[in-house]
Amino acid sequence: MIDKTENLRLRPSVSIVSTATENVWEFFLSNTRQVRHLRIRDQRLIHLVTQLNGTSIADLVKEHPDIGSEIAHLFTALVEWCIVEYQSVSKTIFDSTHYRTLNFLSDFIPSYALLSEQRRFRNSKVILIGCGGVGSLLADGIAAIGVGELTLWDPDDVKNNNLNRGLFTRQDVGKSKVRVLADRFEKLYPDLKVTTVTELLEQETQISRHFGQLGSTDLVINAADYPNVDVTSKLIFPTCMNLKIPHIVAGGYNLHLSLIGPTIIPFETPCYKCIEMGLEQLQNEDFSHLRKLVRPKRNIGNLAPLAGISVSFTLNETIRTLLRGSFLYPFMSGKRGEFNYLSNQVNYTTFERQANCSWCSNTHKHPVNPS
Amino acid sequence: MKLQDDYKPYLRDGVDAYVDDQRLIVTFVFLSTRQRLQVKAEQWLIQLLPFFDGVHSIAELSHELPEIKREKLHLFLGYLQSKGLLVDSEWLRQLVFDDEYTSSLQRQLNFMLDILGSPKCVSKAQNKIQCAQVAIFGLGAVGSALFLELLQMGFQNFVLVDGKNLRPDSSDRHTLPLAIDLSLETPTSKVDYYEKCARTLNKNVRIRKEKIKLTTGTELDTLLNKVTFVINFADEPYIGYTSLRLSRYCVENDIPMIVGGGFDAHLASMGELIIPKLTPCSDCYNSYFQETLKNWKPIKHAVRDRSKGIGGLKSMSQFSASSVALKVFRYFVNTGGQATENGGRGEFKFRDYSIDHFSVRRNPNCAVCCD
Repeated sequence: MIDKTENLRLRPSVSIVSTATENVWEFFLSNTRQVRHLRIRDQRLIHLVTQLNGTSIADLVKEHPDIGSEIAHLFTALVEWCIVEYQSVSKTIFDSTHYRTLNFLSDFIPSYALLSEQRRFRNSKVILIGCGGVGSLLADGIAAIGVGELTLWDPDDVKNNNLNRGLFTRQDVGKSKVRVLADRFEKLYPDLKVTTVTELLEQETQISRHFGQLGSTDLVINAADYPNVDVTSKLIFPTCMNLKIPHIVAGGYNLHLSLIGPTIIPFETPCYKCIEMGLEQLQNEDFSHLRKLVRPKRNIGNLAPLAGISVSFTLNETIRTLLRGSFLYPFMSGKRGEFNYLSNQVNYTTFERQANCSWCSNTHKHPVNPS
Repeated sequence: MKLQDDYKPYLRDGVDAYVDDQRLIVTFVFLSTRQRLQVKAEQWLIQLLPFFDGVHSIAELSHELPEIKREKLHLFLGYLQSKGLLVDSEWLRQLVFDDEYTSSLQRQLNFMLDILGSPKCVSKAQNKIQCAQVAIFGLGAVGSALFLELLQMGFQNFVLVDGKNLRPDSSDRHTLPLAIDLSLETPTSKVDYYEKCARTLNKNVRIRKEKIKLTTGTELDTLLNKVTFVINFADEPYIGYTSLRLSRYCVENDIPMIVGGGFDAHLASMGELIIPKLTPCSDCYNSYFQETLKNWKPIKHAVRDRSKGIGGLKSMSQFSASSVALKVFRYFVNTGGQATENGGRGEFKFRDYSIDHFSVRRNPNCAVCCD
């Protein structure tokens, strides 16, 4: 809710440009390259906007009573549209080590809600399963946005062939991946609470047991690709559904080097099962009549920047999922994307909730594992 | 060239094979690139596919076949080899690189095999990467992430140019593979820190450190001595200025260059590759934007010091760094096709995860790059 006594200023990252159409002004939010056009007929109003650097709506109305209602209407909208901000909040941003992140989020979250939204990060608990090439970078990104608690789950030690992507170095070889990351984060992000799990994920009961011990969780990210991400996702998602925990399947694994999503909000968006069924239908169109040659023990390629692209999308989804609500919502819900290495294009496939999904078809009755 | 009878064909790891038993067509899917190749073959040849496993020699495979079928088998194998589907199962060990280099890069080398088709081409391309001398101007959030990805891809000769220190807020967007005290009381120069990181990734890395800021007085002949590729992220006083300075030098001296993203309004830019006399140079871009944006004139901003009012996200920096790294990789591996040769760039948008692509042509009147 907007406080009309708060002093406002035009956000530093917003540019105002006159357009070829009379009285139409362009507001360019440079962080996110969003554009909003406004028709403002009264020149006094646009003058007040361009000069805005520390005056409240209440004071502006008092100074210009003849256009008071227009001022109240316009400046309220400008706060809602993230074009102007509270000066008090801008001071907090200025002093924060997260000033870049806060300024970025200010393109979506109005000033009056920004700091309470940031507190949601601090109060969040995230479980990351798989801390390899993609997972280690993801862990760092999650820590950097200021999440309160992070559980890192990976049974492996760092090997020499892990060094071509991710966050590990030669001096980490032979050490536990989660231990290496936990030690590093202790110094870099002292406010972050890190817990580690080093069990090999083999059974669904491990997930329910650990999730039970870890308590309420805001987000689970699956970046575990052993034996493959389909297997690990099938182990993870039933517990997430039962406990209604949002979860993201991160890409970067064998066969899907630059896969993006999906993000699943239990009983709200298509679940893992719905997407699996949708994928089967799609694949059937292509290869249903074909026999796949069985080829065990393969060593599939990867490339550091493709892992980086996957990390980037998953981090965006992490932010959107942790802050989901009025201002942000996961983009990859009901979607999978693939970044094309050759064309630099992203292709998204959309999935619907399936009427015959054993989880989603009967959501109101029982969020329990139907199997 | 006819394959020897002791040759053991190996259908390489990065390929799936789907068999249409009715039409006798095999569809090979290159997993890294998702490209497909369809081959029509006689049934008995298709039945031999599972034995192209690096264990069975041609002599063993053809031992009970009549002469005419032996000939056909040779032709079939020769064709598959010419399309990059077959390799020697020991191909990684036969490359010219030392064991540690090969071992840390084995998954990338597999990826390259998917794209390039033959171990010989992989060896040649990776050798180009290993021998390249890369200068990076600016080790900010994007420049440093790109530097780490280049290291992970096997680049090992660098000139790092940045006069600044890491700051307490660096953890917000920088990738920091080594624990570090970021307090202002113990300043660490960016080039010193990232040199240390590089040595923990590759003991053979060679780095020339230049703790300077690029200015009109900077002597580029000395700075870029022996450099074969330039990457510019230096945004002070602004990226347009530093790019013009470097691009003019690079065009004159026939050095390819990339202008990276990550700066204000271009947080997730995919960068511009400049190949002298082939793609537009920075002067061409400059004239293009001067013309395109001639009517886009922002009104003077009410906030004078906007330096800490600009946003950024680690995920956006990561995207920018990884997409530039992909361009560098494509240039060295020479698989970019149009994506490499055309001018222009892409901008990823957080709002809807789309990528705006726009193209820029060489300016026929450019005084720098046109004869």
